[in-house]
Amino acid sequence: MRKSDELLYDSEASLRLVDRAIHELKRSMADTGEHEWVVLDDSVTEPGGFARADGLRQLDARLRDVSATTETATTDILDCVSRAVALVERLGTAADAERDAVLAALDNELALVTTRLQFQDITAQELGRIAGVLAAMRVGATPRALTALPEPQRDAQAFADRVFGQSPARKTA
Amino acid sequence: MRFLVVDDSTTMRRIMINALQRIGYHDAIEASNGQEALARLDATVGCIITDWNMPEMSGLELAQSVRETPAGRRVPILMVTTRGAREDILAAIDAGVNGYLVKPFTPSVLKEKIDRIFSGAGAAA
Repeated sequence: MRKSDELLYDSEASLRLVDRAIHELKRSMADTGEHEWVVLDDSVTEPGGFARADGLRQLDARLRDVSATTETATTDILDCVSRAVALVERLGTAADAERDAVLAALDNELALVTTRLQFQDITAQELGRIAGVLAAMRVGATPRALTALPEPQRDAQAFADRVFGQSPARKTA
Repeated sequence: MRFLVVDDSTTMRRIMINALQRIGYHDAIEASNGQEALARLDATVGCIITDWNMPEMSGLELAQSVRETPAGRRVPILMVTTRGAREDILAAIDAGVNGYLVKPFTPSVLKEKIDRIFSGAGAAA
C-alpha cells in the first residue's frame, strides 16, 4: 500500500472512531437530559449545524448590540447629569433676565434623561427575545428558532406613520 | 383627557406618564398587563397607550379585546413598542390600533402621535 493510501485509511479510521464516540456521547447525554452538549455536537456534525453555528454568531452580535446600547445610554445620561449640575451652579449666580433660559435648559436636560432611560426596557425586551431563541435552540436545536428574532427595521417609524396615515377607520365604529 | 397606560415594565410606565405630563396631560391611570387594563377601562378613558410585549396578554391581544367591549369600541389606542417589523405594524392596524410609536421616543414625538390620532390622521379618523 502506498503511503498516501495508508494515510487516507488511517484518517478515515480515525474519523469513524471519533464519529462513533460522538454518537455514544450523544446517546448518553440524551438519556441524562443534557441537551446542551447535543446542540454543540450537532453544530459540527449535522447538516443544520452550520446554520445553528451561524445563528449563535447572530445572537452574539445581538448581545454585543445590547451591551453597546447600554453603554451609549449610560454615557448620554451621565452627560445630561453633568450639564444639569453645571446649569444648577449657573442658576445660583444668574441674573434675573437669564434665569428663565437656564431653567428651560435644565428642564430640557431632565427630559433627555427620562428619554434615555427607555434603554432599560428596550434592552430587557431584546434580552428576553434572545433568551427565548437560546431556549428553543437548546431543546429543539433548530435554526428555525431564529425567526423569532426579527431584525430591527431602521425606518419602522416612518413606515408606521405612512401606513397609519393612509388607513381608513376599521374597528372603531 | 384621561390616558390608560399599559406596560408590564414599571420603569416604562413611569417614563410614559412623565412624558405625558411634559406635554400637558396630567390625568393617567396605569395597568401592568392586558387583563388589568380591560378591568380598568371605562367611559372616562380617552386614550389607551399600550406596550406590545407583555406576558399573558400582549398589546395586540389587548387591542383586539378592547374593540369587543362597549367602552373600548371607539377609544383610540396608541401602540408603543420596540417591534419595528412591517408585518407587526400591519398586524397592529388589523387589530384596531390607531397609532404606532417605536421606542425610544421623545415627549415631542409622543405629542405628535397623540395629536395625529385626535386630528383624524390616524386609523381611527
